[in-house]
Amino acid sequence: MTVLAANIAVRLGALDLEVALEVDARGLVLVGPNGAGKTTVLLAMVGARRPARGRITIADDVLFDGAGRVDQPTEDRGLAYLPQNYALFPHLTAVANVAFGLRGPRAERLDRARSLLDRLGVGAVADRRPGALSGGEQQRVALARALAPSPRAILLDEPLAALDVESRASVRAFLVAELRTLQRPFIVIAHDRDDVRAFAAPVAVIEHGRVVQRGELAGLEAAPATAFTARLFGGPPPG
Amino acid sequence: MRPSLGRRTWRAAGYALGGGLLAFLVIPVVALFVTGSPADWLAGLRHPITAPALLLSVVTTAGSLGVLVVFGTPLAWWLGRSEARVARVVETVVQLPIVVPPAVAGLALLLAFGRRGLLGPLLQGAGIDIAFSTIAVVLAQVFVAAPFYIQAATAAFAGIDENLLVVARTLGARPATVLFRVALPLARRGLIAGAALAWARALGEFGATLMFAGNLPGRTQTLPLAVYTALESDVRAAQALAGILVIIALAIIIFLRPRRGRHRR
Repeated sequence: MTVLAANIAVRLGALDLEVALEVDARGLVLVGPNGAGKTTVLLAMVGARRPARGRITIADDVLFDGAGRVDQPTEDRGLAYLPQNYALFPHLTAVANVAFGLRGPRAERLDRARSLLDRLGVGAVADRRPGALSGGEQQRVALARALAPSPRAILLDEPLAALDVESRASVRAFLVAELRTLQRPFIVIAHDRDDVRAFAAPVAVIEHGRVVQRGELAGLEAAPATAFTARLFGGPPPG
Repeated sequence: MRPSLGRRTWRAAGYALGGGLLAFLVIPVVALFVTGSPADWLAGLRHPITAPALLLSVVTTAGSLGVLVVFGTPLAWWLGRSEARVARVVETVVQLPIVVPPAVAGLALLLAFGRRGLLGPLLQGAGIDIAFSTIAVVLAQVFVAAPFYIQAATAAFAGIDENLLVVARTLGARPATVLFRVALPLARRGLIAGAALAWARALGEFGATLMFAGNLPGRTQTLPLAVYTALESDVRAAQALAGILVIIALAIIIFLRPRRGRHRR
């Protein structure tokens, strides 16, 4: 089973981040207050933030090693990244967005992109630009684009935050089902109790740049280690 | 009644002041076009000074714009994307040519690249003599126009969401691919606007050119210098040359007028 593992320290302005995380195909939900460093963890994994030290691996492949001076460029890491605002290329149509990460002749890439959009239920808007799509449609297009190059793992930063209440539940169900079928390691940052539960994956709580608690959801709910966790899961405050 | 009367007076005063300045700005341009007859214009355009100056202006501004885009775009990229403090310092330094009087810029260029200037011996050793050549015209234009392009390009690059660039890389794109398929298309509008402004500034360049390149017909006598020279002998020629410059300037302003961005989110 493929495992994505990171044991890294990142200094970035006021943020002093030092975390060790491991994720397999069961996935991992990252929770924590704003500014705790959750997004920075994902950015470091894809290679957009350089750790001061540490090691990032996927299966047997070393993506980053501070001591061994390994630092694979982002494009070679094979990790998909879905930022909170989806970051669809605004100057390209939905289908061109998805085809961006594919290789091969243009017509073939567009065909594959179109069938991927069809499969994710947004084939009808393939020729529209992102600005003309609803939040839920944007999310599906962004997911299609992330999945297109067959990433080895997928990292999602609050994939449901930009959605309104009506579309949130259906998009969430869809996203959870997609991640389960994928059978690849995934990390998803979440803010909402229902979202955390829906992903049904192990949880890690990050506060002030440190993992303060990790484990199965039931355990965190029963015995939250910090006030933040207690508030998030509505359990008894730590004694 | 009183407040309403007062308001009316203020409004009238406002119209008079603003309208007065507007008239002051427009009347000279109108005068440029209405004081000459079509025959005068034709004669001016056929004047021997006109064609070489027009040609030289086209060639040198194309050259200076090319230099600016090639050298300025990477600099603007760094200024727009870097969070280093030194980038903010450089951003200020780049603005310098806007506040330096053009004649001072010309003198400074002469003292730097002239035969007896700072780098003069070095350049002469390499057999290069810049001052009072067409190259000097291009350099003077690059110097005065650079801030306009770099400023606009920096703002355009700074406005690109970092997530777009990161995601493009995760999709397998090399940095050069990201630049050409994501960054440049998104910054296109700002880059073109900056290039147009810089080109207009280069086209109008007078003071620095006169000091650093001189006023040699066919070699360094661009349109603005030709206007100055023609004024001494033939007002009609000066007027025709000036008319050409104004028409180009108007075209640029119309081209640059604010439009609604289609891709903006």
